[in-house]
Amino acid sequence: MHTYSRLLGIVFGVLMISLSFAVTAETLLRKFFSVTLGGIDELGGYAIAIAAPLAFTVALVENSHIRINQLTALFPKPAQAMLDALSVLSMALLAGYFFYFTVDTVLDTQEYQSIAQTPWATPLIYPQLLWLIASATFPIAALILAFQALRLLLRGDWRGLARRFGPPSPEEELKAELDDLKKREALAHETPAHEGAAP
Amino acid sequence: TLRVLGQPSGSGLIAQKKEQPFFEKLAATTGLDIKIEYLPVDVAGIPDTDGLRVLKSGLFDIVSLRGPQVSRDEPAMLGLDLVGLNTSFAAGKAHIAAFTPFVDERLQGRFNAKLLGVWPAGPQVIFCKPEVKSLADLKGLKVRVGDQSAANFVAKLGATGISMPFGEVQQSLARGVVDCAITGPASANSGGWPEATTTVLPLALQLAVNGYAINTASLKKLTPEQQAKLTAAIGELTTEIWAFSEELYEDAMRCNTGKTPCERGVSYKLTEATPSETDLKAVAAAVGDVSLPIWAKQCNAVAPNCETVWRATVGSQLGL
Amino acid sequence: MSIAIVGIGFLLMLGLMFLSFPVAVAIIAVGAFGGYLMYGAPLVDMMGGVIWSSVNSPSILAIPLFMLLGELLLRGGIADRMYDAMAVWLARLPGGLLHSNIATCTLFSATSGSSVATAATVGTIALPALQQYKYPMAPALGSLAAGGTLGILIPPSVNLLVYGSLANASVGQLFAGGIVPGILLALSFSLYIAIFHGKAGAQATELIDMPFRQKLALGKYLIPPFIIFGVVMGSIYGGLATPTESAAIGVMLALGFVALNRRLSVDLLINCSIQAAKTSGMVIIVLVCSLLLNVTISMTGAAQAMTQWIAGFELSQLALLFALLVFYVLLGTFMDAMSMLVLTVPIVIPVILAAGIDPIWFGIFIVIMCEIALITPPVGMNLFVVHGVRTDGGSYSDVTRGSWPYVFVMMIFTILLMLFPQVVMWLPDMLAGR
Ligand code: NA
Ligand code: NA
Repeated sequence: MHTYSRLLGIVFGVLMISLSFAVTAETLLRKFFSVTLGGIDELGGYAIAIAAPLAFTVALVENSHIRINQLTALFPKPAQAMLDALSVLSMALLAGYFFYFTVDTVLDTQEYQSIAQTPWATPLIYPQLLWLIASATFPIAALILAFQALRLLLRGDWRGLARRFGPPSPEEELKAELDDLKKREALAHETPAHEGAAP
Repeated sequence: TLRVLGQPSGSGLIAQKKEQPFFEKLAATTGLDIKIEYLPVDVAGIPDTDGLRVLKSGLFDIVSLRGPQVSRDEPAMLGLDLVGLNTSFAAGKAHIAAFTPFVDERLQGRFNAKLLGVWPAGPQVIFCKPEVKSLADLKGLKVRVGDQSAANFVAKLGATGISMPFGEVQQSLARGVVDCAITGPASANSGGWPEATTTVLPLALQLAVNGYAINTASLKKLTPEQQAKLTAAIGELTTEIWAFSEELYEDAMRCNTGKTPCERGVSYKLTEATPSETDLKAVAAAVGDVSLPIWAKQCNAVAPNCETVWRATVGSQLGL
Repeated sequence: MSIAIVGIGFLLMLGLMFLSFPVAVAIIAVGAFGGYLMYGAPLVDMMGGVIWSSVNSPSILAIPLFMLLGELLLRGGIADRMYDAMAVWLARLPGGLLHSNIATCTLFSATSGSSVATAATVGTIALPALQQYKYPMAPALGSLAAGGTLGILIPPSVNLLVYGSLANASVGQLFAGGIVPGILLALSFSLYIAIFHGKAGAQATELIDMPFRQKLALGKYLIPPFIIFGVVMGSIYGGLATPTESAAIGVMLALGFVALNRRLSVDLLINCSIQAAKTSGMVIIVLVCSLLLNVTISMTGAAQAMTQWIAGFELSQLALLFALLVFYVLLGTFMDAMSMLVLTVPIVIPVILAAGIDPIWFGIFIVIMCEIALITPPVGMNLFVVHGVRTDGGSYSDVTRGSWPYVFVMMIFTILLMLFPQVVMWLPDMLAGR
């Protein structure tokens, strides 16, 4: 599952970094040479439309969609685990709901042969097909997770549920951050440029 | 109940003074026994490009269609207002009247919707920060455009067409991200564009055409008598808006250039460049040179007789 | 009637949220299901179009770009050294390193769009030094939690981007509006520290007595963040780029600095991408869901009814804003800042416009309300984050105790902004040529 989210994260990063490059090039060319590649803003719109559902999926698999668990933290553990499972199932419903209407919209676009009102006059079906594909990653991941949660729930394995789907404690998240910091510190000491850095 | 999806709430005086009051009072003025719920499209949170889809779904019974936006789903709509076609209110009225039946037929066939009236938001003119005297001066400048037709036109002049949200334009003009921008003088006035520009070039590139359409199923729910009343009332509204739009244009032009009377806007001191014969001709020629060929290709793709009908109705008036 | 329906929906939503359902689910459950009950299939049918148009938008695009920018600076090791440099320069002030916390947060805020990222980054870097010099824990944690909130006031700011797309306000103007209040608020935090914790940090003599030459050498680590802030904001206001374009330029620049730091690697890029995807995903999904909910709410006419209802009280602008201040501080105690923003803005904006309040000014106001929400218990993201960074296993109440005073500082600051709205408006006005 994490391989899946890692892969989507990479696609997300490639999209955003290459777009940044194109936008920077476009901006500099426009300012200093009065040349425009044209349509970069339109391309950016499609890029984020495709990147956003990928980001939904990554956040889902990494268990980091916003949840408020201050009240439920007071509940008995099995109840918490039950709610964790319900959360995963509800996320699958949300993902299915989004996807259903994404398909609906793309079918309309196909039927009307809609054309973007931009200089490129892009037939909308092309970017929307990519959007549809990206959107499909979300319900796929959500279904798999929901299935896992359901299995744990039926087995009554509330420890497993809490471990896999429970809200990540700040301690865990920050342990990861601290580890990353230590790694950076180590790197910094290898780099001669940093000698003599204070405390 | 009839649900009406209106123009965006911030879009100006036509929506504020004509459209919204009209629909809110419609039941009283026509004596129709129906309840009307009017909701501006931005308040509803529905993208204005989706006007026709929303109409077809029946979520709203009447939609105040935004021409440039909904032409995404129905290119025939754009044929009402190609760049260079409607260079004055009078010309616009004739051209739009000639092509409206075809657009109506398209809406009925594809979106279960009947077109009840078409009206102009007003002439779209060019505001510039550097002093410009003619279209030739736009060469090499960055111009914010509203749609693809205008983008093609400025590209032909050697300028760079840039699209950006309306809200960012004023500051972008002030900081020089763009040199010029195209919109109606009233929108420019309310958006504070004259604070960031020096010149207005009053060449009407387009009239920014909008229209009212009703879901045919909703229409059929009314008795024939009610249908006639409703259709006539919206027809009257459309006629009123045509006159009001012209009045607004003239007032806003006076306001922007510091002339009086300035009744509906803030007074500014822009220079008004006088369009030369060459420029007027260049805009008029844009129909045949740029906007028609590009549009016809798109429109023919979904409606094979599109260009033929356009040439027979509008084109014949222009000798195209 | 419609207000009652919306009220019931809102309570239902809060109920779901407190049962720890994902916030996005709670919003959409009420928005879509409620909408379906009231308006049937056509209402839900148009939601696909809303999803498309809300993700296919330049202001949403700026969110992942600014997230990526922050990740690159953090994981590329550029943020780490900022604190060391700040520490030696500010240790001498009454309150010592507490000022470094605020100053580093301020500087990091100028390159990061998120408050949680700011608190996490600076907290991670600062706490070891604070413990080493035996700073009292509560004030130290408080300054980090509060300083971190500056991340969303000082541009770039994800919350301002989200507000801009909800309220249809210019992002360029909003960013300009955040700069002066952001700096003044940072100074207010420092003033509070100097007055109430002036004795803290006297044991850090090693830092105070460091030779000037060495201090100057450390100063170079402040250069990259200054350049990035300068270029990102400068390109917006210098007429080079729109806010979204400037975010892209910032990403390229950060990549450049990371490369100069000899840290650029495929691994780092992948790590940053995944982190940015995660944080962008959780923000954007909540935004999209609230835009969908907004359709249902507006169909009921609740926003208009609310506007009329509030107009009925004939409150003055000031009284209205006071009422909103109290409302938001209370709401913010138990609601996540981003959820609070997306849920209230669509309803409050018509009220604000009707009262003649400038939407740019109000954007800054509501972002400060979000900042307060981030450090008020029980639900305050920055509190959790800063508590989580601690390695000494102290109690959670240390953070809340240390943060409370800053809530009052921010409330007083907000009242001053109400009385002197020019503080917010002069920079955006000047940049717009007014
Ligand atoms: Na920031
Ligand atoms: Na809070």
